[in-house]
Amino acid sequence: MKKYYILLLLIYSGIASSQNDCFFENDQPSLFFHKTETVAINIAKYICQNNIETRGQNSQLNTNLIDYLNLLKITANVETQELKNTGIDVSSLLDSFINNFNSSNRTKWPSFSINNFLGKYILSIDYNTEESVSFIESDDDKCLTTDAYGVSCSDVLEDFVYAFNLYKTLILKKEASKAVENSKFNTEQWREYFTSTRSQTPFELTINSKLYRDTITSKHFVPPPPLQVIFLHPNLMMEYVNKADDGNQFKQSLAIEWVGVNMWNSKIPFGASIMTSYSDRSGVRDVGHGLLFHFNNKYSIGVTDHDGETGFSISVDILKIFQSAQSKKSWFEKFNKENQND
Amino acid sequence: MARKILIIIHGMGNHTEESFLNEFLTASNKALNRYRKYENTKFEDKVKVIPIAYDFIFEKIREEFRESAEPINKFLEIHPQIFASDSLIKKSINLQNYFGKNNFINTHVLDVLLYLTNVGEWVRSEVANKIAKAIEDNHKNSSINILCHSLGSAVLHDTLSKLMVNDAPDDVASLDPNVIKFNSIWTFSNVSKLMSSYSNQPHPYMSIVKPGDYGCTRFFFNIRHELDPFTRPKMFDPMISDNWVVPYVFNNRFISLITSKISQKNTHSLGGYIEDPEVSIPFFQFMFNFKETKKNIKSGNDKFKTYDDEYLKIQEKYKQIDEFSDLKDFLKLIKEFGETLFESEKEES
Repeated sequence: MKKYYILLLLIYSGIASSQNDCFFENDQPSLFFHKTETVAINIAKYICQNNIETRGQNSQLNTNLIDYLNLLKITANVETQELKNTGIDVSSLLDSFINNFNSSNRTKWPSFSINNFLGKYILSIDYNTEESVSFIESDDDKCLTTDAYGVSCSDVLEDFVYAFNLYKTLILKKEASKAVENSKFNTEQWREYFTSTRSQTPFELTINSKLYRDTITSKHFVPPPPLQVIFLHPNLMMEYVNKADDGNQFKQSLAIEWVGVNMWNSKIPFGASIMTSYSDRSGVRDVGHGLLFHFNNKYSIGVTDHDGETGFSISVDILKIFQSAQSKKSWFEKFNKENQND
Repeated sequence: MARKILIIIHGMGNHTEESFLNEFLTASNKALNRYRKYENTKFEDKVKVIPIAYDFIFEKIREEFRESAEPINKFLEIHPQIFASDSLIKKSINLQNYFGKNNFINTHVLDVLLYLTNVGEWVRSEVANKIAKAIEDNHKNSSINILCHSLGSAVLHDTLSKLMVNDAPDDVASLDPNVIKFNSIWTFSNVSKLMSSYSNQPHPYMSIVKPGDYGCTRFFFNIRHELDPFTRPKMFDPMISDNWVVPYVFNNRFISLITSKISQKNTHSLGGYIEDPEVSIPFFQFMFNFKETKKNIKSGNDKFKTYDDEYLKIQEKYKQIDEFSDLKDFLKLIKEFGETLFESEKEES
């Protein structure tokens, strides 16, 4: 016991100096369990400041930490003595808590919880569900009449749960922050895949999903596929055919990409597909077959054969390089008008 | 005392965080204010509610469909001779154009279809990010609860199945289930079992999304209405014999609530579920220690208006739904359900 008093002294005096990542502001101090709260907060800081690995085997935890956790149990036991007078005994739950750290299994960091489950209060500790303590609603008022509390037992226990669980609050923060960071990166990749790369038609979305099905059913989150399969994809292009009649050489055309791929996420995004171009012009055949190349997920350049006459296509997006939005709009309107007049 | 945290996740249809929060709080407060002691109490003062929305992803995809189809359509209007109307390309363009339109099928049926594609992983990743953010922002609070509705139950299940692991590579999002345990999960109109049969995501009886020592939550509440058609095919209804959880947990940490009262024609509506006293009372008890006298509970419950004559009509309509042979039947059901609701609204107006 003497050992624990020394530890208590150490822990009260603050185990280590403050570190920004391990800063803890207790903006909601416990009403009834000050000592439990203080020990819990200092354990939280100790784990954080010593960078103790929380994913692993219990055997990897250092003896100081085990001692501090024991101290938390003892302090909580002392501070909950008064509750015993109302018939609520948490000592077996505290035993379960510390026994959890004395095994060599994977480290579990249990929290206490108090809930009103269909009119029955259940105080329990994680990973030892069957050890829970329960009491009926009418017993909740027993703490109201005691000098120590003066509020309902469920309120007292909520306060206890809050104070005790603070021991792992910085572990929770660390776990969650890392998950936020990793999921943010993955989410941004998916967002980019669907919104900043070449658009996918419903057909393409179905095909790309089928091809990625095995990967996506992985038990972990996965990034988007590195390749976009192109299939039956319509594109509006501007196509130049030199041998077409005057005034019909540079015209809007519809390119259908039959099949192709786009490496959307490579250092220099690049793709290619087999395409057929359709336009309405005199002097050459309306239909031309050829290849379409994609760059940077935005720009496309194609070459087609119209019965021996070569056509060159550029995607409308390329115009963005040369034209302002307004001039592009008027340019489009002009072309649409011309096409309607044809 | 610390307020419990409640993360809420919507189902099919048009939702934003704000609209879903409003829908949820309107129903919760309507139910809560029926009881004398809570006449002037707001649910949000008792519980911190954090809405999570993912519908913007489906909307973004539909917008992409629409925006890329629009100029093509214009071109084809000017040059109709290019493709025959029954050609595969024309059909593909028409489909893309149709999906871009704002109607019930697209805002509901298409959500389900899109979730089954690669878009689903974007949704899961987004929801995982928001759940992790909610924990990070509330790391001093160990009572984090999640409520989900309809498609949201599949989204939540699949997200937690991937998130609550301790063997993920270092750069992949994960939360160690030995560190983090949710306090409770409330699923309304749970379609996770149905969706998992098409999405190849883990079967909900085999995943970590369950109560108890081997699950990621302490308590699990599954709520369905007898006449909610969406819960009937491949119903999420674990039995003790399914070995989903150990018998102690099944009996003490899991509740399956089946409601039957009809307060609105849309038996799938989250509001209708929450307003039912059979749901609202255990929900309030659990979330903020709701206490009221028996007399006041009775008079509060009496304020819950039901339309019993509607029961037989709806029962007749949906009694034939038991098991679907394929996804097409399920999507047809969503469409028919939507049409029925629109017809009812028209009749009423």
